[in-house]
Amino acid sequence: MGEHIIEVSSLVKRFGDFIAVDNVSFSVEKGSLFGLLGANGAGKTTLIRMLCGLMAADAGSVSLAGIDVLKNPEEVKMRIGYMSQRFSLYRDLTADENLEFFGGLYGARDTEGAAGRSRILDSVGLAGMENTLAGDLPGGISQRLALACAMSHNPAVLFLDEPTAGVDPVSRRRFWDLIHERAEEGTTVLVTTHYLDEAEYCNDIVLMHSGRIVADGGPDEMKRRIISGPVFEISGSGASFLESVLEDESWVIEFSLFGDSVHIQTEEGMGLIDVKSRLLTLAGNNQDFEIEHITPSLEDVFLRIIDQSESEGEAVI
Amino acid sequence: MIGHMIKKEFRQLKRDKRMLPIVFIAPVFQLLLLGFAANLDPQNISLLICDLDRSPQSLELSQEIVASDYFIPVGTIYNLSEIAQEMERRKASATMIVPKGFGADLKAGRSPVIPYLVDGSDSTTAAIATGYAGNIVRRYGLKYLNADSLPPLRVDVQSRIFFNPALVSRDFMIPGLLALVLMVITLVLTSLAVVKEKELGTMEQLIVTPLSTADIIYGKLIPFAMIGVLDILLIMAASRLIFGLEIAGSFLLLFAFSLLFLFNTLGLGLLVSTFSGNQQQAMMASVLFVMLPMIMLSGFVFPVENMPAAIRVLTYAMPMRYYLVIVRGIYLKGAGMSELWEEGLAMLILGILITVISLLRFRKRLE
Repeated sequence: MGEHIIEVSSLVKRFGDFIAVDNVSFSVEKGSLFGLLGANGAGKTTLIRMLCGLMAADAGSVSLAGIDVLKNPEEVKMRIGYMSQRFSLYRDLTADENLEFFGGLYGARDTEGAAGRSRILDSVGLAGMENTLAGDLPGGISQRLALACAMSHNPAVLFLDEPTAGVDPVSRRRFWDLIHERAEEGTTVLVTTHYLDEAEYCNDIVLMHSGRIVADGGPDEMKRRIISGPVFEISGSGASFLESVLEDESWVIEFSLFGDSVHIQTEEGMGLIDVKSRLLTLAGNNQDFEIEHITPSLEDVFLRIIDQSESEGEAVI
Repeated sequence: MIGHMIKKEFRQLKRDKRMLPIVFIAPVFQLLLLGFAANLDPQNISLLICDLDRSPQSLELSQEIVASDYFIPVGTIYNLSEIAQEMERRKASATMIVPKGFGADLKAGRSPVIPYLVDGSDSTTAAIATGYAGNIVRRYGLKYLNADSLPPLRVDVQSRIFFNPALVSRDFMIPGLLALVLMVITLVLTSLAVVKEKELGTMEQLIVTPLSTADIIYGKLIPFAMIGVLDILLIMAASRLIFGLEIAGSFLLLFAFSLLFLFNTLGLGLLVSTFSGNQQQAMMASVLFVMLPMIMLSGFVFPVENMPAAIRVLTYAMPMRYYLVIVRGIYLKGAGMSELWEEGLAMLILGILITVISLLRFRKRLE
């Protein structure tokens, strides 16, 4: 176990009767890539705002590099970089001017001279776009500019709130490469996302649901822990019929819909041939389906967790 | 760090192709428009003459009236009963009735009474027009009586007008415009500029930087204060070049008090922004809750002295009330510090109050 750079304990935020963040505690290891996951409205943005000192909490505490963020929000400002959900570049300023402005606010040395800024813009793939207005940059590129602006002062912790929302897959990939580079250089990165494939890149993840943390751990460890048996994917036109009869089968531990296909998790030790023959028996006239043994994705894990948490009405960790 | 804010603000202003004309052309445009239009001096009042006397004297009086710049005769009638109908038909704003026996009265040295009917729907014009007509009639009476070397009649109604001897209302309006334009430009620009950052989410980004609340606020206000200062000079220069209005008193004193007024309007802009979530709200709030009350209750349109006591109390909360006294005082009367220090002090206190309230409301946190 490394050193914890962020410690959150029993954090609560209410908006009237609505509890946006409900007694949340977790810690983030220094230099890790930490994912905060959950659906829209799960409380991720509220949580990240409190971690940055942008918003007051109703109860609990946040410590960042030993500083009490909720009591002394100003003291952490130099140590953190924050990219809000709709990162807010000045659309009427050029890429270079945005970087100069944000760098200037932090007193960053690297952004003082045009050469330094141009080097930074190069490193995030904005070479030749120095004088383009931020408002004219395509989504994926302006996100990278926003990242450059948020980390021009080499913060110890980088908070990224849904940095890749609405960005095309190629740009997302490129963005994550940049985040990885940062993490490798020792920056702690806390990122929220609702793309579960992105969560696979993280060292640690926390899953939020209705303001509470319902699961945490490393992606692989979490899969092993939550999904004990093998997982199969059934697709084809017969899948929907099977779905309606599988519920009563005791050997099916869990099943969930993924678009046109159905994922089932069976008792431990069951093989593909065994499962297929059982399904063929059940299917009757609906023999038109295919079955495949798959590695469970985080999506399987999370659907499972959220299912359980909703039916039990409490967190399963 | 505040330097970065100011530099950024100017870059944005420079790039905003629509904003620059608003900031520098609009003040001059407003000045021209209001300077020429806001003319309370009635001229060319259409006048109907109802001559019941048909004497040489009544004819002479009619000619006297016609010769003045103030009236345009729209006709003469000889029957009282036609007045209402003819006023309507000929679109006359006033009718002067020369009563039967007017000539005879004059010759006999008696003071005749001249009834004068005025369209009261525009009360200001009506009042002024009545005054003009009265003067002409009295002057005519005097001349007539003197010519016949009878003892001149004593005419008591002899008003004297100070400070604006020509009684040109434009000279009274233009200093007021300085106040109006300064308020409109700085109040609206400030509230919009602050709210725009909220609306676009850049405020969130600014809050997370080491910028202090004061840096954010003054970084936003200083550029607009500078624009305000340029506007002050621009309006003063334009008033002089276009309308020939010179400052009777000290330019520096006026300038200093104008800065104090700016301090108030910028603070109000900031205050409005703390109540508004987007630019439309900021615009509406600026107009409805600040500009209109300020224009109505500052003495810009209606004299404060004429207001009912309950309303007059409200005027003390209007920074523009004091500033109007100051600009008009310095521009027209050449007033100095000894006459104006109370107004200055009132603006200083109001300005501090407004700033403190808006700073308290402008928290460096998200709601």
